[in-house]
Amino acid sequence: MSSKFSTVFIANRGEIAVRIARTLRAMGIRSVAPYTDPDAYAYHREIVDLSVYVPSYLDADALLEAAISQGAQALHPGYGFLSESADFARRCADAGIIFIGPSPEAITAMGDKLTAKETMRKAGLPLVPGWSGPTDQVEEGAQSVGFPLLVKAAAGGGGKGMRLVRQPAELQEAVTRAQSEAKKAFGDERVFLERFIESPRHIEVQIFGDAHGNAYCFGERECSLQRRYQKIVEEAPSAVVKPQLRTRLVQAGVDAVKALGYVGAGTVEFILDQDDNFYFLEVNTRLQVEHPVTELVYGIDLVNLGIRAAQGEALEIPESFLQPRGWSIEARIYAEDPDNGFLPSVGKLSAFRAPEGPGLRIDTGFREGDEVSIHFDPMLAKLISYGATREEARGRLLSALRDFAVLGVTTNIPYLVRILQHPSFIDSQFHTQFLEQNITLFTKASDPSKERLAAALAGAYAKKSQPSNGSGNGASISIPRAEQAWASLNSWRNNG
Amino acid sequence: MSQFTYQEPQGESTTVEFELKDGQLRIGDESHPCDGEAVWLDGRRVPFAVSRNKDIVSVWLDGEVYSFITQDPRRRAAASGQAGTGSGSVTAQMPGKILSLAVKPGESVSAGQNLLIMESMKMELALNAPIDGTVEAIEVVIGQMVAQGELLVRIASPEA
Repeated sequence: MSSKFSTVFIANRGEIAVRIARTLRAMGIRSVAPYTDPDAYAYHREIVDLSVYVPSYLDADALLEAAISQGAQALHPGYGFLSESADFARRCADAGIIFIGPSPEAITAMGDKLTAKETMRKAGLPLVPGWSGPTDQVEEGAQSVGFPLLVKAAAGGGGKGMRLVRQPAELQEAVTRAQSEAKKAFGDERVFLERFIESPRHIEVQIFGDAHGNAYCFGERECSLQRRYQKIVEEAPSAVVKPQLRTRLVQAGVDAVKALGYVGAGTVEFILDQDDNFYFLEVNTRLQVEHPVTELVYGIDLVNLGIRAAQGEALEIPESFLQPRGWSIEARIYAEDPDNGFLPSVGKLSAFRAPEGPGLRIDTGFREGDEVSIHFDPMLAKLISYGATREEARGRLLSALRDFAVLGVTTNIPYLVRILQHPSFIDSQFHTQFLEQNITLFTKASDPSKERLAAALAGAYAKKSQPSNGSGNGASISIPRAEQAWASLNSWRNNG
Repeated sequence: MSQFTYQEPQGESTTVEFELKDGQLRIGDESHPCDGEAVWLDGRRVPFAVSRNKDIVSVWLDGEVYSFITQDPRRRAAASGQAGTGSGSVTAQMPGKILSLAVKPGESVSAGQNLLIMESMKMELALNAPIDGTVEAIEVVIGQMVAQGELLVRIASPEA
């Protein structure tokens, strides 16, 4: 049975709330979103049809009350906050509000790493080869896993009790040491073995299902460029995934949808080794930050599909929409300082001028003049390019990054520019540790002539923005809005 | 020609001579066409933007941002006056919330020893003692929100 929604509550903020609201508007559905004290002037409030005050974006009671009071038939959780809370999904259902996403059972099963792995193993997805058993059989265990391998503490975490073993001869010593370390750190000396994947890539597939048993997989996203497990540059498709491998990845994605009875959009993450073997990592039971690259390459709107699936529609996606076409790359722009330990940067966006051009998409929750505060994630925008080829998409993204004027906070834009210009990126020769192992490749190079030019512009501006000597008010110089800055710069020629 | 003097992060100062006249920006013996939004380098239009936050003028130019600490003689004198006693001052590098305090007033600390943990934008930062000495004062309490540049802990060096 399907019935169209007239109002949907977006239980989120920032760029994802804006992005969901735009699809709702395009579908003729009224959007309602929450806001909190620090978000009193947030951009997403301007985009939705109505916003409702809540004490916190994690306050399930307040969110549900707001959704009910505004007559919402459904709730979109976005990503982060309560998007992966099975309890919240259940409470929505109990309150008669459709949760736009998978069932609470699917969220619970995938939220627990061990259950997720067991479920996916049963569904036929490959797991990283591993072994656990009595210490006196560890040699046989190691043979079954294969080398190189990792000895890991069963109770472990944080690298404690972990040993890399490249050859059989090193095994006994490594196990003994790992056991002793594990006992000291965790009071539990049990260890297990796991195949060590050399220079792995992070590859994920976009899955989608409806309540009528339709199961789809939209192919891969390449997300290997990460720093501290945070993705920075993502693309679709992946340059290392050839059609045969894609067929296998897509089949794994479809199998996952069927095993979970999955409804809505989700992501299955894998690591890929250098011999085209992929291994299941986890399922994210929600929309991903990097979903736009898939949308551009497959010509779909995942939020639209998710809403229609939640309305109970049977979604017949034609085969032609399941083939990638062209290339898309996303760069995440953060308010942080790559040349100073990636410290987050806060302040008022005195300039925030998004570039325009063919094959460009910008998802952001900020406008010029907005405050970047300590309260939320420091992601300012996602800049996404599309091109017929990877090189065209790269060129468009690179020039767009160079044209994106942001002042008032330090951003990682110059760092992103350096990544996109690097030969290893151009040749798609990278893996998940690439950025952290090559930090110095991406640090700022000084350009004295540019710096001198910038200093002259700063000087000209500082001269114009001094309070006039005769005013006598002694007030401190306020932060000028960029428009005022430009206006005053424009007057140079007249009174030079 | 006008002069613009700014401070390098290391402390020394640099002066640039420039003139903006008749749509030309002259720097030393170079000259580039320039209007309020862009400067032309070898025939290529390079847009720029400038903003000022107190003593810092930031310039966005050709995909990079350059920040200049302007020299204001009075402020500089005030700052150097502080420096003599302030070498053991720990200030907030960015705004955030104090999560925990690891020391008490009167406690002796060694350089590098953790003083407190603060949180900003979901990141935890450990702030450590810059010098050996005695904790003279703790200016914050757990849970307090602090602004960028706010004094958190003062440490007196043994000689002082």
